[in-house]
Amino acid sequence: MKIDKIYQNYQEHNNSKRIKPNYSQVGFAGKNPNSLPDRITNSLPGKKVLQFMQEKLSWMKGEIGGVAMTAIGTGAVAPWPIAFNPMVKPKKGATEEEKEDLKNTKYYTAWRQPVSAVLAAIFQIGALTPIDKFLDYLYNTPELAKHFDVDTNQSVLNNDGFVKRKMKKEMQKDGLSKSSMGKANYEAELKSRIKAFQESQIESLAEKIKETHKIQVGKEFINDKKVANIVNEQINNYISDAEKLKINKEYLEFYSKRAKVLIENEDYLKKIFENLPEDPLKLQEKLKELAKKETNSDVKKLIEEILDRSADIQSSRIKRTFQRINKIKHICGKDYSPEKYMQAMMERNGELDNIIKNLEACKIKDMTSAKPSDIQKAIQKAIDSCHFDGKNPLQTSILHDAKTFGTNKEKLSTKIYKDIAKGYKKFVQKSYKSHNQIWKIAIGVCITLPITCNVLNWVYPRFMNWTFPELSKSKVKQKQLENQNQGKEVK
Amino acid sequence: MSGINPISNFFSKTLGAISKSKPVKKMTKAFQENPEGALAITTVGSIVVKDGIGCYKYVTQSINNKDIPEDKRTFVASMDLTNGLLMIGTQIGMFFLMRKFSEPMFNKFFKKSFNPKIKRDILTRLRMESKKAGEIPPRKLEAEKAYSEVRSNALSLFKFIVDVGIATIIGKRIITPFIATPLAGIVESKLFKKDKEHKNADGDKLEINHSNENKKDLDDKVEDLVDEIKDELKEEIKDDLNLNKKENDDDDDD
Repeated sequence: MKIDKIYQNYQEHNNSKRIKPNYSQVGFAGKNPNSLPDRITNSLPGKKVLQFMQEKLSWMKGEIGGVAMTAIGTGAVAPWPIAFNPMVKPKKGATEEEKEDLKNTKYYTAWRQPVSAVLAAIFQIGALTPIDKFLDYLYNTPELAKHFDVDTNQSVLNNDGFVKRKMKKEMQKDGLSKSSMGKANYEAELKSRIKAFQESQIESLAEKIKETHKIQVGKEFINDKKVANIVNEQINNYISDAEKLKINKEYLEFYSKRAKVLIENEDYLKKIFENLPEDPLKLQEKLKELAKKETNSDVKKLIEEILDRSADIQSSRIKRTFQRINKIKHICGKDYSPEKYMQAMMERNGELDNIIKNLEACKIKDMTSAKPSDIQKAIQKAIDSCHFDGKNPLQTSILHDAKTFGTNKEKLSTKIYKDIAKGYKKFVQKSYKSHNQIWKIAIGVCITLPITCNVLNWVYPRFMNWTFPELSKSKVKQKQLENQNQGKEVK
Repeated sequence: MSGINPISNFFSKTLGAISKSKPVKKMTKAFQENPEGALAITTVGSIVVKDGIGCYKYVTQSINNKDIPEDKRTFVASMDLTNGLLMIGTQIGMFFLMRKFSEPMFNKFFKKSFNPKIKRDILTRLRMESKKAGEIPPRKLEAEKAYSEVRSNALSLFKFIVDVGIATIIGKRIITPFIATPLAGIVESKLFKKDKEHKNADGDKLEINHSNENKKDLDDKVEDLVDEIKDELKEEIKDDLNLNKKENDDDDDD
């Protein structure tokens, strides 16, 4: 197989221009100001909605959001069905006063909702934000966090909110503020500091795990069984990455047929795709013309597939078609045959199957009696399974530039220990979430809810008497009283 | 312990001790194993507990609230009771119903942003950009992971807002009051029927309802009545005793 040649050519062609990117880089100092997910969001249709959700609505995910949505529902929606409910009608033969009285009762009851919503927003949302900060403080400060269940102690890897507040204070000490730097620069600097701080915590924990194969939190340790589980989950992620590199069996036939079309029509494709306009819209028009004229159904399908992509990337797809032709030729040598190509794809999948098999074998089998030595062995095996020496051309062509796999064992080892530290972060965040929920529910039920109820009970009738005194009076009752008084007077 | 104030220390020790209890540990384990499911259960649990307690408080307060006009008080209380019970039911129902429908809804709303074609286009675009910038183009694997991350973050936020929003807005605030308002009338007529009948039959000011003041009045009246009966009994006993004495005297005279 000549797969190595493709990779060599590819490397040689690009080496002079290449700069190793850091896709997770944040801040305004780098070449790529955004992370890969940010870059993807920016290029998606509907990016404004997605960015709005990400920037303006993410605070809603949690207890505060629940209270806020409840308050919106209570204040803006609830009064209408109460006040104008067609199912509540006066009795048959009701007097005008009775009808009026029912209407007033409905309005009177409906007004309770917005009053209740405003009070809920003041007392419950108002209380939850400082409670959240206080809980973060308790669970992230080592002297205080040591009193909690070790699984929820966040003093080794602080949570995002705590780090953000910490970095803000640090910036304040350094004399940096929004007014002195400008909002955008301030935010970027803050983001950059948060990232650097969190990265340093991960690195520090990863080094400690590497030394002891245990996770120490203060004077306590995370249960070995739980650490083993984190390691196994990480290995599962690597297996999933390897699975994604495989060519799906369902597509093997398609790729094989497509390769045949490309090789058989190479010269023709070169001819029709020659001297195409650079302007995306003109190119699109030209491709439409070509597709219309085309008599070869396979080539027509190929052009239509290119036309199916966005106008701005159509030229890239044409280039990619020729890259594919080169790749197929390299894989099969000079003598292309569909069988050879199919065999190459099968070999590729076979190589990945071996990697997956090795990774499966790394996993800790007996979780209940897992010891640090078992964890160490599993990690070491995982490092070996993700490592490739770069000498095997087939492996190189498959695994090049994939973050999970690498040729430098030391770097790979650092990465895997860091991945385990990140796995622990997810574990501690999930554990802390349970406590956060419990305390917030308890505070809501025992403190903020009774306060809101009592305040509502006091405010609501006074508010109604003050703003809608006519709704507070009962006309029927008034009439009865008047009649009684008249009766007395007559007597 | 420098810089740690005693209040924080007190809270961390108290909450810390509770956090090590079996039920809390069980909940922590549930969050570790299935965070999405555990969050859903605690959210619904929170709704049930809060609305349950809120319902109890609102009902008792409305019954006893003399600032609400008397003839509206029972209706407001009945409304609070039916509202509370229906709120719990509709919210649980809507929350779990929406958990099934919110993802297809997301797929429909964001089909322009997240579909196989866009996924392919994004990858090509990223490659183009990277090549232009002289960088290594991200591999399909990395780009797909990042794309999935964007989608799952957006989906998770959308799901939470839609699930909770529909449960609390549609379930709690539209369906509930429509059913609650007519039901409140039935509840009022059943629960407070005796009060009203009593009021209508007597016509006097003796009202038997749950207000503490009225209960006190009633207790006083009962006490007065008991005293009156006691006095009458005393008188009768006295009379009896006098009568017996007189009869005995007469017997002696004979």
